Amino acid sequence: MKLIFSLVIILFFFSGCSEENGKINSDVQSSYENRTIPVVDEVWLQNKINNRNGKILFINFWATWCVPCVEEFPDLVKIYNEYKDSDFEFLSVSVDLPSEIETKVKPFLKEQSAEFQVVVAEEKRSDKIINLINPEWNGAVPLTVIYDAEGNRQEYIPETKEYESFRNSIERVKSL
Amino acid sequence: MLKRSGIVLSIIAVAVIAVLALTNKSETISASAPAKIKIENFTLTDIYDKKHSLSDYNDSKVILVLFIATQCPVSNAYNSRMVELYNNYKDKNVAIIGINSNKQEGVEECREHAEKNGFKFPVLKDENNVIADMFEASVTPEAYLLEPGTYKILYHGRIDDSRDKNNVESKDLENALNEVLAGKKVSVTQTKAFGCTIKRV
Repeated sequence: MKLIFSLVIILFFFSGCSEENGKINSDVQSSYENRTIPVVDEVWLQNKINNRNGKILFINFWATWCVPCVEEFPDLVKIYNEYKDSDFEFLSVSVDLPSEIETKVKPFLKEQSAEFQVVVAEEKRSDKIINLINPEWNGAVPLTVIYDAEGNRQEYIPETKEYESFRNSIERVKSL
Repeated sequence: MLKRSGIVLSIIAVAVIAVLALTNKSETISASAPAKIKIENFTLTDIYDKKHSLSDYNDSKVILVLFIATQCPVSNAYNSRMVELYNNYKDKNVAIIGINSNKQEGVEECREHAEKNGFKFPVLKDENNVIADMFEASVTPEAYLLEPGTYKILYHGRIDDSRDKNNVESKDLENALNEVLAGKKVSVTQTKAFGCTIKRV
């Protein structure tokens, strides 16, 4: 039974990964209501960190219930719009519950005009996800991490920052 | 002879530095040992202006310290579970203490919140987050099980594995509590979960 369950989970995530490459980009064009927001685990995130294709990776962990996260969100939208056409990948990881994707996450993204890729962290894998990002991280959001084009973590920002500070961090990682 | 030893030592030094540099690079995926947090006795005032020291609970079997918040939706999702914990363990000589370290949540707000949610355990106000700093607590809710007297941390982390009560599969804190009460070694001493940042001064 456990084996079947594991296979179902694996298939689910593989389908999520393939969807991520093809469907999400096209969904950006369509309405916020129709966009796909997959629920991902630490394996999906590890693959994302590893598969850099010459781009740096900017990951922001947040939640709609987190006031400082909401406050810094407009600056993150600005950062994405500024860097999206360069060797830069933006990943927004919401730690809201999957049941809140339709009711809270999507309406918030629409309100913020956020067009970047958004996934929801699988709650049951939070321990593993936190340890993957940094074993020192206690799980407090917001958190921003920036990986270089080789997938090495170069910036670990466990607090709210403003546009200029994010920009400086990105420029530093790009210059490495 | 001395010159040769010097060269050998230099090679070893370079190799050690190289290994250290490589180890540092893979830091993102390595599991680090839990930080050594040293808890010492402290005294805080509760929401009814009564002083409580950790040493007041030295005769209990175990001390549960919960860092909580009034405004954090994650912490609030656990209010009823905290009440259940108190009800289930109060007669088993388990001391339960709630601590609010958030700078923007005043004593009056904490009192209203505790009364509204039926908290029967003492809720202490940690002005200037001194105690949160000592515990290195960073989120709410965050639980610590302490050995009375020594204040050694027996368990540190989440209450369970889901904000949604109906979705709980692993009652990590209760498992640790039951193991302590049964005189067993705690099998899972540390867990993590997403939560609200403790707003510090």
